Amino acid sequence: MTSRATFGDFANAAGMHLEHAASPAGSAVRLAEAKPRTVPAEQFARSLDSFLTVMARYLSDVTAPVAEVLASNRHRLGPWARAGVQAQDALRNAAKALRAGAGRDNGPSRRPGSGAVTCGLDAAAACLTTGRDLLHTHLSTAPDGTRLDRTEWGPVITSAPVVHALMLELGIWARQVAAQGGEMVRTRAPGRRAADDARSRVDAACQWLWQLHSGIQAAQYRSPVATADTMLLYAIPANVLPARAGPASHDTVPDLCQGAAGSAERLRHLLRAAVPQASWSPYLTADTLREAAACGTAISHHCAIVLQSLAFRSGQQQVPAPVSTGLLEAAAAAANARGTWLQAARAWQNLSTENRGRGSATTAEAVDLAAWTGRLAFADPEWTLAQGPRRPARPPESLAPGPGDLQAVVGAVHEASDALARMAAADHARIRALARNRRLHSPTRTLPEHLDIPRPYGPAPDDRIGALLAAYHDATAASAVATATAATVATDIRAPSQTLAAARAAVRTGSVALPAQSRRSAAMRTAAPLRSPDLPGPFERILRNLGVSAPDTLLRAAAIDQEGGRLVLEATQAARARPASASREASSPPVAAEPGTRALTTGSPRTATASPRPTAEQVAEAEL
Amino acid sequence: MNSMDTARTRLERAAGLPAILDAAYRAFDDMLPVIRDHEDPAGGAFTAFVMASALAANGRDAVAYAPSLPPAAAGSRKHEHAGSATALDAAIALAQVGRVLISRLTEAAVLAADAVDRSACAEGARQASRLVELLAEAAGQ
Repeated sequence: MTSRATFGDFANAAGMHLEHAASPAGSAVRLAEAKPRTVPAEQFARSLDSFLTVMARYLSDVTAPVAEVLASNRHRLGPWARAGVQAQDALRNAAKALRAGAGRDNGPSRRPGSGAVTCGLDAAAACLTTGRDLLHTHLSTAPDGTRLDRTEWGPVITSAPVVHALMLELGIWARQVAAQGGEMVRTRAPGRRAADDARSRVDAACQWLWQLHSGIQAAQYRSPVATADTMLLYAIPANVLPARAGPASHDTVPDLCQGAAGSAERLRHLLRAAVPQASWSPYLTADTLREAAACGTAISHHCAIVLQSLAFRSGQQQVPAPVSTGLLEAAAAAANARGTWLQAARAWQNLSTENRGRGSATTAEAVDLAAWTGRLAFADPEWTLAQGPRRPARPPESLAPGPGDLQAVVGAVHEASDALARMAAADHARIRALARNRRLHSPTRTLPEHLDIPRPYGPAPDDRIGALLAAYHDATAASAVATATAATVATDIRAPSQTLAAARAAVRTGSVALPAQSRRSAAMRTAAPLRSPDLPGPFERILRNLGVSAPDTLLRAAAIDQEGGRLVLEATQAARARPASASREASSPPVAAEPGTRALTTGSPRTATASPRPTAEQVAEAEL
Repeated sequence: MNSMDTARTRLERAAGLPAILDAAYRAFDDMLPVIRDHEDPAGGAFTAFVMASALAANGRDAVAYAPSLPPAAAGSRKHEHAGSATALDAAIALAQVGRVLISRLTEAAVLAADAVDRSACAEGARQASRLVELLAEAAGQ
């Protein structure tokens, strides 16, 4: 869909660096080595601190909507929201564990982005910082703290599917770092006290990173993130609009497709800015709207021609029948949209506005898009909007020489259709604003003769305004249908614009962002006194036996107990539903415990003796 | 092409600013049904005629703002339009009227003492120029 940098570029790079998080930066990691070199523990600890800061910023972004939820009410949150809050707690604890005593021996921790890249972890942190910056190019903050969408990607970034996908990635990165840190800790060198101390702190921090990973995996189990949502996250581009350009005579079909897609994106961007200004903008005139409607007609016409050609060509190339059928349907929908746009253009015939003659950026971009799509539809490499009746359409074999060439052309048509649908809706909204503000007029000469209006223009009659709005309503609906049918084909054949379809679908599922976010106050950060459950679960019991009384810690343990119990209950119910021979004894030895529970199994005198593991049913009955 | 012939003749014979403005307004207005006849998706010049319709309406609206435009004469609001033979003929006829519009409105802008009249004439001439550029190319001229 774009040749710009995407979030996935940085996420993939971070993942690669995290595979060698503890290795010195720039050193060749030779796979033949049984034990790759690692940086000193103190150095890794400093890098880990920077990495945790970057992770905390990501989590702060995704948990902002639920940041004010009191700890006692967290059980009311959905699985991902709860996982996010718990992940934040885990990260906070990891940072605390990492920094405990750090100042004594190893100097202050390094601020993220301070420039020194000493190991893979630093490189990964830099990549993730840049990736977050990329996402934030699409967002801004109003003075009252409300998050604003700067581009069409803003709502996608704050949509539930993408936020959950991002959290899943955070869990994976946490696991990668925890695994690398644990590996480094286990490689013990004869000891300097400072190194041993650093390893101990890294070990403690990594335990919390395992905890973070587990919490997110629990959410993934309850409400899985689709692969398509992760792909959408990775496809989010930087907020850099393609430069405005017109087609050149030497452009190939792929060039024209890219040009059309770029022009469509520019048009969508300009429309977002234009709608709020409708009530007062001097550039919003009948002239510009009339020309835009004409461009809408032309673009729909060109899309219909191209899709018809592709449908014919797909038959020649023995493309699967559903694709050919989809192309025909899309061509019909585009032709229908053309008719509605023509009616909208004609409805302007006897209407005007008080301002005239000024060009608008959106209309200019619509003219560009008409030119790009026209070059795709017609054979003449010099084709312009003024082409007359002797100009033939582009031959199908020129449009898509091979089966693999369908994607680019379908993608371009999809993008253009989407931009038209946006334009129809935006212009409909703008015309309503014009009508509300009494900015629509009619030339006196077009009004009935019995109306004695001593001015060149009079107020536009209600029936003309009604007809205009109805025409735009129809154009909006028809353009939306044309877009949807094109999107179906684009998704089926994996056109470059399939990301656009996924983005629209993600936004429809809703945002995790609250409509407005109040500023945080110190008072609101203080949680109300907590109450533990009357019957503490195993984790909470262990902590209480250890003498832990911190409310946050106990509440986290209670949440883990509750979630674990619910999981066991579900498994129990599933086991009861299965035949007896298929059920598994819950008292069988567990698979190798997560490092997060190592404290229970090391036998250290500092740990309390764990209770004998109950059966699944006993847990279900006792805890729930 | 009766309507276009009539429009061209009216423009060429108009004398004085109010008459030129009246002839220009009616010429732009008379173009619209001719253009509409050829807004046919199967016609090959569909895009050109759709864009031309917007330009003709823009030009008419620009001239309508001139304070010196006289009120419409009785019966002048009706369009006499017998239909066009082919899209090519229509494009040629419309371009010819467009060229006369450019010439007369440019002349009227010089004659006009009122700034709003001058602005209206200039804008009308600009829209006519865009129209001619579009339709002349469509006609292969």
